[in-house]
Amino acid sequence: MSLGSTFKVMVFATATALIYTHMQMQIVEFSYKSKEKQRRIHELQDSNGILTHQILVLKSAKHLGEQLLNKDDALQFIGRDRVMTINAPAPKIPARPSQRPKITTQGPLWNWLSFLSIPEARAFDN
Amino acid sequence: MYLRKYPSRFAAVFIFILAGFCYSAAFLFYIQIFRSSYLSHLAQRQHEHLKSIDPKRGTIYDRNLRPLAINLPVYSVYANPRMLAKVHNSDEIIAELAGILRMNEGQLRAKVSKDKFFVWITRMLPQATYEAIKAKHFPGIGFVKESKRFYPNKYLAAHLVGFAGIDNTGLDGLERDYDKYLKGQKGSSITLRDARQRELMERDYQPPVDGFDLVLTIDETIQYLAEQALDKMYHKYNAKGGSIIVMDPKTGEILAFANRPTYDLEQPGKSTPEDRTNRAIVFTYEPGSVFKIVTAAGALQEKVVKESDVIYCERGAYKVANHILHDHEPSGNLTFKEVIEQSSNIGTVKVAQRLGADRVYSYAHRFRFGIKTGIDLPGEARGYLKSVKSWSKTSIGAVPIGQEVTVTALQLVAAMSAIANNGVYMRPFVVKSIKDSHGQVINEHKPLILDKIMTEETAKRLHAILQGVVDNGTAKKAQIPGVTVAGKTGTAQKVVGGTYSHAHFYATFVGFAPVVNPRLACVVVFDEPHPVYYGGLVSAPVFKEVVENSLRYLNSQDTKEISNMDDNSPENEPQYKD
Repeated sequence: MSLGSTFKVMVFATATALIYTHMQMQIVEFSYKSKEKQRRIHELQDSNGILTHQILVLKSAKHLGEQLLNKDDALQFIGRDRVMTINAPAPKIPARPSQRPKITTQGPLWNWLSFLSIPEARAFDN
Repeated sequence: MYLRKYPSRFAAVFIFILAGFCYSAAFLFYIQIFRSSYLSHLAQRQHEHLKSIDPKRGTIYDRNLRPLAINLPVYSVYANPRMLAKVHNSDEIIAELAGILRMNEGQLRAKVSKDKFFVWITRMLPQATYEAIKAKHFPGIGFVKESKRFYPNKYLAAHLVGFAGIDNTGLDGLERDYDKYLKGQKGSSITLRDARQRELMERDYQPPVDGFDLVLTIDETIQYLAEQALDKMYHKYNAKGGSIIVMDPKTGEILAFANRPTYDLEQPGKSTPEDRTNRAIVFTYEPGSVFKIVTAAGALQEKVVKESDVIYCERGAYKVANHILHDHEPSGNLTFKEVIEQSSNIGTVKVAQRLGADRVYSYAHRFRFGIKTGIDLPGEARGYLKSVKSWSKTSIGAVPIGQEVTVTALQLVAAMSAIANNGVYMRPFVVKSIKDSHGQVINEHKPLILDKIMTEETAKRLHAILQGVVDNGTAKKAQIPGVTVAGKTGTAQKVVGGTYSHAHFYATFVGFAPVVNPRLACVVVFDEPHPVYYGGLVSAPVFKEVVENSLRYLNSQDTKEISNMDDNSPENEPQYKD
């Protein structure tokens, strides 16, 4: 093998080795980054766990009961006799899109340029 | 030129270099071929680490999916004594660490002076302590993330829920009995580490299988109400112990279950075995007059007696075989209804004599006295109900009024539930369903009918008699304004030194409400209350408080459900908005 050919092979081999090494380093670097992100996620999970615990303790029957009964030990659940039922007038139900008067349009160009409200647009589509 | 001039030197150098190459080649060959597996193993050990991944222990919920036991992450602190020994200020570190952990410095020093790479200092630190230590960045001190069981309600339903140990293994109560469902399966992964032992990446990841969740029949709110009321009277009357069970008579679902003394589930180590004893199902005692419900049910069902039948109560003294039976208040003629209302021993025994020993025993057996109710809790006692052939001549004067027989509080409430449920005996149960981590139901416990003890008509007649006990009889303290209540009191003498004591009593009340369409059955038992010891004075007020508040709560829940239904009605759909 001539010196030139040997040199070419060496350059190729070196370049390949360098690229391979670089790729390996990249992989390791990504690993470190992902581990850092994983650590951050775990930290957030931990703080979430702590908050969950605090919320559960605060909303537990024991805690609520103690808090409420400390303020007023005669406190009771509301009885049905204390619930007043009020007959409200029937709500006015707006007309459905199909029952609405059809929107009049000015022409294709005007329609294309105009900005309809969402209900108008739905009605227009229908 | 030099080669020609010094051939021998060149030859020597060449041979030396060649020998070096040969040696290197041979050594490489040796390493690659003969030592390969050993050295690969060493390298693998250094770079790869098999990591066990703990599953999440299942959560225990009440019937409304409010958590009663849940796992959350916590940190445990460890030391690397070998690394710590190399640090110049290790003494200061130990002293500071002991201060943060509130540990004895000498004990901590002894722990970290071992020639080891790993020593636990404290497991499962409180968050504030963990953060305080972490902020110091002590060399040779590290943390391991673990999962700890939390009980947000602390002592609530302690005897039912039980507790798990530091390694998340159930040690008591449902935590122990359902451990195989709750604990899940461990996962694993192989972690690649760099030279500084920092984790790089993972492979061969086997995810852990989280434990199943338990949904109980317990209602957290009713449980709290029951515990509060029980606790109040337990302390007021200096009782040795107490139990309360609230049950849905139509399904057998246990809504509340509490005992006194009790303990904090987050600090089980501070409790005594007595604190942890589940009295309601383990302790058996002579029930006394509450057992008259069995005699009354049998007598009515067998048409031996009618409510209006008059029974002469012998002015308070009646001889049965060689034993003279007494009433706490001497009476003459009483109707059968009044016999039960006034809890006359003599009247009840006279009815039992008409019924006969065989039928008294048969009804007691059908009410599942002397056998287990079948609740899904371990350690349930059977109680004691001797067969008729073992009865003495005085037994007919004892068993029908709750002597020579022992029962558990659970058996009493289950029996009263059967009366409330028109004679249908439902198996009591506490675990409603088992769900996986995705909410899929794995196993569901449905209400189970065990027996039909009496006809609906007999049950209704008995309801009226037991309502009379509350309205006119011994249980006036159980009256709830606006709600009809039926029940029976019992004040039973304890056997001390082989004889019935006049100073030690069990005070019991068992009842249900409302009488029409019953929603709750409840038993309250106190062991040795004093100075007051009557079931009607000690236990009945607890029943009243718990059932009154629970019914209000259930009604408010119903109202909420109805209003929610209204919200979902088609008329209330989101409206079209202009």
